[in-house]
Amino acid sequence: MGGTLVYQGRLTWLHLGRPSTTLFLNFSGLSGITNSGTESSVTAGGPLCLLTNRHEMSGFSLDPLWAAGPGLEWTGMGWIDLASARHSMGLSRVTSALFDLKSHSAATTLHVSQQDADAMVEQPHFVLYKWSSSDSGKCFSGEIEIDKQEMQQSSSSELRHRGSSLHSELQEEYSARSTPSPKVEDQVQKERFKSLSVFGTLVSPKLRAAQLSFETALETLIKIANMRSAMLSAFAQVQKHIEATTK
Amino acid sequence: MYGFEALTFNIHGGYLEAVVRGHRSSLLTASDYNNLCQCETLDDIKMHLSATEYGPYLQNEPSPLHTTTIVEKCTLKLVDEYKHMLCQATEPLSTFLEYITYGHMIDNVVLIVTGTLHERDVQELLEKCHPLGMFDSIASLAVAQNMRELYRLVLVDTPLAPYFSECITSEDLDDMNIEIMRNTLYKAYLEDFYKFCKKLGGATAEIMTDLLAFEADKRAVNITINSIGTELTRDDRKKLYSNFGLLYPYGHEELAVCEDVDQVRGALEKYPAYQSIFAKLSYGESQMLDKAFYEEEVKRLCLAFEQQFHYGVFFAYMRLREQEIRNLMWISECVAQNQKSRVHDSVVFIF
Repeated sequence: MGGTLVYQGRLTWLHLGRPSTTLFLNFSGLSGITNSGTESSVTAGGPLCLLTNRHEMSGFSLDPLWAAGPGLEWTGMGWIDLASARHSMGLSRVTSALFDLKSHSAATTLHVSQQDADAMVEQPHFVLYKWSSSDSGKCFSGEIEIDKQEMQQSSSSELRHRGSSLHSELQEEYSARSTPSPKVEDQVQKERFKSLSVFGTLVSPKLRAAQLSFETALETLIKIANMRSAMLSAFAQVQKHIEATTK
Repeated sequence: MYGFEALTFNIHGGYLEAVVRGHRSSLLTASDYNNLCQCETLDDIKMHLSATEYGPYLQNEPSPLHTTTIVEKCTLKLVDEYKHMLCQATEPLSTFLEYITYGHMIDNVVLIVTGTLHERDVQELLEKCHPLGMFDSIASLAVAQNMRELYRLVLVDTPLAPYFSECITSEDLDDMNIEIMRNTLYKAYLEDFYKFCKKLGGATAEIMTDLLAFEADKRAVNITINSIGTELTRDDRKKLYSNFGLLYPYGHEELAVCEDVDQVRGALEKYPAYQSIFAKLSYGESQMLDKAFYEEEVKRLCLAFEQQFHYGVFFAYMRLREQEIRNLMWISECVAQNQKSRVHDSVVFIF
């Protein structure tokens, strides 16, 4: 756990012009979109068309985001695992009164950079640095990001079915992407234990499971934020293209 | 062979045994738990509990309720019952009842010391302490810098003083030392309680030694599993195990070298009493181990009521009530977090 910065964005409807399984994202804050829920659609020759009617059920396929859907359940799992740890260890051992108020550096940090998708549009890009050692300032775990190329590749892949197979696919993808060396893994484990030491050095495996659930939830949030950023950037580009075309 | 407790027990202990058996009959049943597990909100839980003996404690709590409020008020009920029994008890029952609370006293001491190390406000920490473990000078714990000061300034005048002989060092208090202090104190307390019960003799000794032996074994298993992958050495781990119980001494030798849950299973399956616990679990699983141990503990505690004229019923009642409060806490958390599918993961039915 430790100190973290988490970016939370708001999403609204977005439709890509290809039939696929339904996925609803709620974007807001896009120019031209009102909150009435019955906005007109804007079509363009390109692959992207904006459909802002909230009641329209045809969606689009953003496979990475679709894959991240179950990952959002990690937050709920984290809270119930924490309750389970409190049940196992006792209320006096897992309590907010034990949080360390001494100043210390964050175990995980979020860096926001601006990527220029092209000369016209800026795209914020989020990178999570996990388990930075407070002693050395080094980061032991890799960046978590999804860039545009990856998103495009996964959106052109075949549809994945929801269910337990998706969980295992997500876990395989995650572990394949982020397999560190044994030395780094050892350091990461040490940092994990260190952050749990506020609750004592002999903590229940349930508390460690809660920590992992929250860690996964944080990574999923960053993925979603990067996808949102990419989609907003794509929307802005299309809008600019449409404006340029109609002039 | 027991003594002639039936001739003399009721002179001093008859009233309180009747009181505690009356309290025991008010423990929640399986049908109460089924109703509670179907609640949609914490207010529903409050409504169902209003028909039980928790009703008067929860009725004035405003909505929205929190899970901590439910636990706090249920604990208050237990504390009131305990205080009534303690003020009516004569020796040696009064000492026996005080022994039951020393575990909470140790938890409170560790909470205050750990919180102070993390620069938390003492008042905030005192609010989180268990009411059964409070003592007069508890707030002074915040001034101690090491265990020697802890003992000299505060704990020398408390019932925990005799347990500190193995802990006193001049090392500064840090997370590892505090954890070792917690487990060393608890080990000393259990051994002292065990000796006291044996000295009482009769049915109390017979029943309490069995219950305390199970407690010691359970703690040994928990210490082993929780220390896997940590910096605690094998020797340090072995020092935290109590010097009694079914697993003492050969089981402890095996537990001290365990590196994963399957090795713990291998060490314990040699004991028939614990085979049934691990039979409920699949290999590599440790999540349901707590529930399996709680179920076995509840079974043994309920058996204590099958006999009369002993003090074990008081210990058993306090532990069963604490289990009930844990159940209510878990059900409340599942309802509050909308995770009712998990509600039966940790609820242990008493009847």
